[in-house]
Amino acid sequence: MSPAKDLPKKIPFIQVGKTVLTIWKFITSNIKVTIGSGIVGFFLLVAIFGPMFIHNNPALYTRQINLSPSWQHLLGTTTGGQDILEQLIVGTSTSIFWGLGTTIAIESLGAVIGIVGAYFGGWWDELLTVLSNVFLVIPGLVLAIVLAAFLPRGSLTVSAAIFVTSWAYVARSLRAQTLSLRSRDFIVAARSMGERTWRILFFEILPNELPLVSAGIVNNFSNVIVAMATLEFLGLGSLNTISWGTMLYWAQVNAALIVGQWWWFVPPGLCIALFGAGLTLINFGIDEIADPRLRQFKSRKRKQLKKVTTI
Amino acid sequence: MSDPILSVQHISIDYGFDEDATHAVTDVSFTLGRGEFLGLAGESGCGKSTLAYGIANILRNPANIVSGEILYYGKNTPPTNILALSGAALRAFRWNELAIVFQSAMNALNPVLSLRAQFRDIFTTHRPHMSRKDIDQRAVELLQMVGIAPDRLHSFPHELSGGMRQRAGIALALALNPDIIIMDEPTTALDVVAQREILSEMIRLRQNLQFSVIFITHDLSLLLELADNVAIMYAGRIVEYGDRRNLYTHARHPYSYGLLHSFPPLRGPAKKVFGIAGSPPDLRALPQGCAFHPRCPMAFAACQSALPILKTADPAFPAQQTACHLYDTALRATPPTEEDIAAAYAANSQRRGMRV
Amino acid sequence: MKDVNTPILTVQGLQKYFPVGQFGLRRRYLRAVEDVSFSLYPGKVTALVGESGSGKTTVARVLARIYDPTSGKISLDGQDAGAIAPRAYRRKVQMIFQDPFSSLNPATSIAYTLSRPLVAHGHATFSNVHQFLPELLQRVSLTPAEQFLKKHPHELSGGQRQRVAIARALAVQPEILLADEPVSMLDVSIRLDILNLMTQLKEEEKLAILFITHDIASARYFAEETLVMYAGQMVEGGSSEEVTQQPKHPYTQLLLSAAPDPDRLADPAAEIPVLPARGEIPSLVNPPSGCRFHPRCPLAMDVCKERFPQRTNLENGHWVHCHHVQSAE
Repeated sequence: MSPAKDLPKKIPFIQVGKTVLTIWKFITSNIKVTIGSGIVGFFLLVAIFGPMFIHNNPALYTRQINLSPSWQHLLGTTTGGQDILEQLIVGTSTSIFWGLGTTIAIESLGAVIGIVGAYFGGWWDELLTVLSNVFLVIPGLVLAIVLAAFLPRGSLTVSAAIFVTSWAYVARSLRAQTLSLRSRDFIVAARSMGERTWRILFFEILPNELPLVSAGIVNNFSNVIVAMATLEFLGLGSLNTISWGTMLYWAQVNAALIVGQWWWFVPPGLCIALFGAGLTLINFGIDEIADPRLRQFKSRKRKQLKKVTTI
Repeated sequence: MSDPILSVQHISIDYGFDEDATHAVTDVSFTLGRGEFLGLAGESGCGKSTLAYGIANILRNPANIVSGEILYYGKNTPPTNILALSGAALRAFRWNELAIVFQSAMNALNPVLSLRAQFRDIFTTHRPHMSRKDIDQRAVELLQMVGIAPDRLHSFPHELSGGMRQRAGIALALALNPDIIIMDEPTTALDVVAQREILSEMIRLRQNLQFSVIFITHDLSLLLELADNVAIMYAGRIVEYGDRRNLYTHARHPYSYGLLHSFPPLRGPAKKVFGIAGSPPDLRALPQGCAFHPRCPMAFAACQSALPILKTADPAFPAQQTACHLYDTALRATPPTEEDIAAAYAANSQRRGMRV
Repeated sequence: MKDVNTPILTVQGLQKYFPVGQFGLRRRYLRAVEDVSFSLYPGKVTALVGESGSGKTTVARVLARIYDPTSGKISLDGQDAGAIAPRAYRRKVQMIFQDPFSSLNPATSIAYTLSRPLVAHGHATFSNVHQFLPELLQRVSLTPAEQFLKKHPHELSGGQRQRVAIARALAVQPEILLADEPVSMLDVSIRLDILNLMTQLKEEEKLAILFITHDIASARYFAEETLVMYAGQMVEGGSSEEVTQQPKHPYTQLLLSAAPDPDRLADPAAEIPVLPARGEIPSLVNPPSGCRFHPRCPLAMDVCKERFPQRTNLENGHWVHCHHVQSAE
């Protein structure tokens, strides 16, 4: 019998440690990834744990209106007397979680449509390609504004409007990738072995596209955050939710820009910019790791060659 | 040794630097005679292509030559160290004195230029005084020399078949009458018939033009038909060097023997052949001592600790050099005969055939 | 016990055309395989020899049901293959690909690659499949098996990968193995190891093997029967010894004289051979009429351009399609 059974079972603690080490190595291997992960990690921590430290309702009106930053209110207050730091923390949480959810939904639908169309080819592919092309030519933001204006207000509407206008890009890139994988030997081998089609799609093809999908998630995440903030800034979001976009909306409505209440509109704007920059840095870093040609080679001088002495 | 044209001395080539370095070629020395056809045989990863590119001084980062020198003996000039050349001198040296034919002609030929444009490129760079008419005339001459019809001058690489492309690559290499041609697996991508045609062409051209050839291949059986001398490489070192007939009649290194008997016979009695157990080594983690010892059916204690050096194994054949402890009389009283090696391979294969 | 004298797979008049260029009114075809017939027997290796463009890989892929034949009949165990469900067919017929660097999924572990055929064909279940894997690896001499199961293809050498690919095919417990140039991408020193392994499997498990190769010497070494193809047509066949030692078709003779043969060194009188024919395999979109070899054939006659020659049966099961041999008979 196999000697594997006699071996002691792997200690889970060590396995977890190894995984952490691998991730740590990845993060520290490239300066762009390190900085990007730092920024994104900070925002994720705030999004997850920040709301736990806020005991007041940040939407509640108080009398302490239009205060500039002070020790009581680190980022000042709004025209309604709400603490901006508290709003920002809650808003970070909302924006990031809605953004992430929307991104994952976009990637999933795009992946399924791209992979299925390309793998089956023929009639299915024609239909799905036409459908995604239609969505590709419609200007995304305009359609999203129209959709968000007609649907009932709320975060779900904003998310849905962005979802509808974004999946086609993902579908197109994964379709191209699947087309090239489909004729590769290992897919042909799986088919000729008698593998079931859905397993070929999701266990043979999809794992090979995961790098593309994860790069897509990083990339789309920042696009989605910006798009959501845009729609909310235009007043198409839910007025009862606090997010980066709605904070900007209320700042605009209450003429914070004209009055010069910079502490109201700068923090959410800066958060959007920083978070987007962090994600972009990670994306650049991944590109460099995946393609060593983008890395600058530290070419060192060739060691001194021996002189011609004898013939 | 006849009049030498190229002398390679203690060349070592690394990929990467310092402690991360992979030693692709280690301490390789040999001499190429004027008009000699030298075969360089070995399996993937043995360093044969790296060595060839090193000789032509066309290695790029992260490959770098860490030691050694390569002397070229021009007709009326003092010997030059190729590795010391750079810039214009190096460019002039390539094509003029030394040309390379690559494995994939499609990569070596520029896909967007016709053959004529590629010939013009070479001649206008290296022979600026030549008129266009002269260039075309010379190009047609070269194409005919390698068996391509003159009307193909205006063809683009993709319009040619694999064999024709490789011929065109040879014609371009011959353009400036180099003294040395390095051929890196020039026929590996071709079918047997096209391969044979190109090789016969090479033999004919070499007789007429008197250039020297370094021919790199994994196919030892080809070299035995073509080359004057054959060097067999394993894990970055030459393990055996000798005249092709000596090597064929008596391969002394167990690796050479195994490689030579990895081809089933085409004629004569059918017999069982074995190949060599195991896989070629990982250059990043070479075994101690002789790199071949884990796969060698005749390995003994010394092979695991000491590195054998290339030297004459049998005084009767001074030119045949072998890097193997089996022929060191201090370690082993009587050197093995070819039958001993054959028996060891057979016994080894028998042992592996037993299923657990 | 399997009857070694009854063919397990028979191919009759197999033809495969690929459409080329979808635009334009006149549809054109690449005539990859034209009228191929042969049989595979349990415990016997049949080699299909030819250069690239001879259609030999297409034949294997049609037999693996990767492509559908344009016409012709394939019967498995006396049953028409078209009537057998693909899964049932594949349970008996498995394929090994040329390039082990691309035929294994880089994203999945060896354990996954090998467990799928076992589960998919009902030889194991999800829960107990891991018991079968070590034995499977031992059958292809990959030991210690535990060491390999967790690895991914990029961690293995070419020879080890090809052994995994063979193990994947064996996991289905097939009766027929289609081996498409299984050793041509491997290092020279380990090719024979793989061929000897396949010989062992053939003898122990009475597998019928179709061995596709461009190397006529390895066909002679490994296969009992050898068939030679040129530009989609079968030109010669018979026992490997007969075909390689007494080739009758000019193309087979050409292949043999072009093959590298160091043993020529043993005979000081032997010179580097001068090839009897030149040129390359023609375009299969507009193939030459009649015998497709006639433009290169040193013995071509007028009749060769008109029609493809009938099969001429020589002694000992040796046959050839050649007008020249026909007229000499």
